Amino acid sequence: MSRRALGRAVATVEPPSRRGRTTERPDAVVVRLLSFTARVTSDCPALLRDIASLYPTASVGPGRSAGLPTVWFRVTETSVGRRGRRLTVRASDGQGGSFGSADQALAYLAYQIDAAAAVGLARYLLIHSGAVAHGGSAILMPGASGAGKSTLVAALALAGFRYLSDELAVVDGAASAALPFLKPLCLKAGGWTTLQAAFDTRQSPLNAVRPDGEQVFYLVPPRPCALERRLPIRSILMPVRRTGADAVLAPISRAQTLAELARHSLNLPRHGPAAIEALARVVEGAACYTLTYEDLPAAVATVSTLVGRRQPVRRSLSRQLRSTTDVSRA
Amino acid sequence: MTTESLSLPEQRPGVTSRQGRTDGPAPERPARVRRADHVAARFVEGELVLYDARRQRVHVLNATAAATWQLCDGEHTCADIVRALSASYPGESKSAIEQDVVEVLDLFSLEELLHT
Repeated sequence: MSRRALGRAVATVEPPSRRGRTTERPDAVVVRLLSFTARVTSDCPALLRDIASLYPTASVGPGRSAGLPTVWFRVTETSVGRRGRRLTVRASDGQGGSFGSADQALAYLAYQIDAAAAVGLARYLLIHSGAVAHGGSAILMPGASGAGKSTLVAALALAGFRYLSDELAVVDGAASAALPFLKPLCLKAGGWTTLQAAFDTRQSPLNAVRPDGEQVFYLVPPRPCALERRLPIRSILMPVRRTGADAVLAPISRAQTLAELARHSLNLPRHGPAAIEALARVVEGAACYTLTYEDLPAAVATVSTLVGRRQPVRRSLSRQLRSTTDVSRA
Repeated sequence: MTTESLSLPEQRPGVTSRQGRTDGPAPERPARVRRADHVAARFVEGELVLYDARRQRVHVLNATAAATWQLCDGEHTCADIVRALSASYPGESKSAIEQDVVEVLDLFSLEELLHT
């Protein structure tokens, strides 16, 4: 499956003078998440292609063609014994690790890139929240780890919503708007099982153990939002997955919603009272609900109804999942 | 970051409150009560939200707690606040309002929202 077949519309395009070099063997991939840039160099092209396939905003090419990155990673492959190999990752901050498989190294890189990007984007308000878009407006779904944010976001994106992030809502407080943070979708085992039950799947995502010890499944985010587009936040949904519950939206007060956004903020102390004022403006411009559900398609249908979207069509995941085939730019 | 809702109790005098202490004489507190400088307040759709920048806590106040908070301006004593709220809620007994005000001021103190 080619990169184009994955529906990526936001891949970085090299200047014309650089395009002649794309036939070179790639030795670097550059991941851009808003103003944050990570560059990964390696003599292992398959790994670079895998990274590029996970990030909609990644570009593969000669490492020297990239600008100054925010952080960089160097991955080297060494043989161990007759058939074994190890991949050693070294980061610009001195951290790193050694991994027995490419998938483990990839999971480590994705985790570190996403974490570094969150640090690099600290001038924005960062909310632990899923986020999708519809009709030019953003929908935030804040929640703690394990609340089902990523699974719900994945389902909504597969149903036609635009993907902004499964875990980190980047909020421009001055504009009361969300920006896309196009990290890979990262589902825990339960979430992946739930998604598989709701959508046809024929390919396997990247399955690895994250540096925090969690077994996760990385997916290519479907339908990513256009890069650096600011979307006014019009809906805030607190997802609550509960056994036996019908999919129901229940209004909650804007003050309580503000408190919830503050609770799930990752960098409120950095912004202080200005953040509260910004979040107050956000909730004042948004419809605020708790979304209680058990059945994922029913939750998607409920959100679709809320925003006036046609009922979702059951879609196959097979064309949305990670691919390790050709990702060179057309 | 934690969030809490500060609410006055539904029950009236005689209940156990204030961190398990049985009601008795109102605790001693400074003659005038004043909001701490590290607390920011913002009304959102009629509800008052407090942000404690020092302890990284957010509180959502109910109407009576919010009214009490607004009178914690360094100009009013506990008795002044009781009088003001009694005027605002003529249907409530003064003793009940006094109980509530003492209780919410206790909560404010416990949460370090007041200037000491």
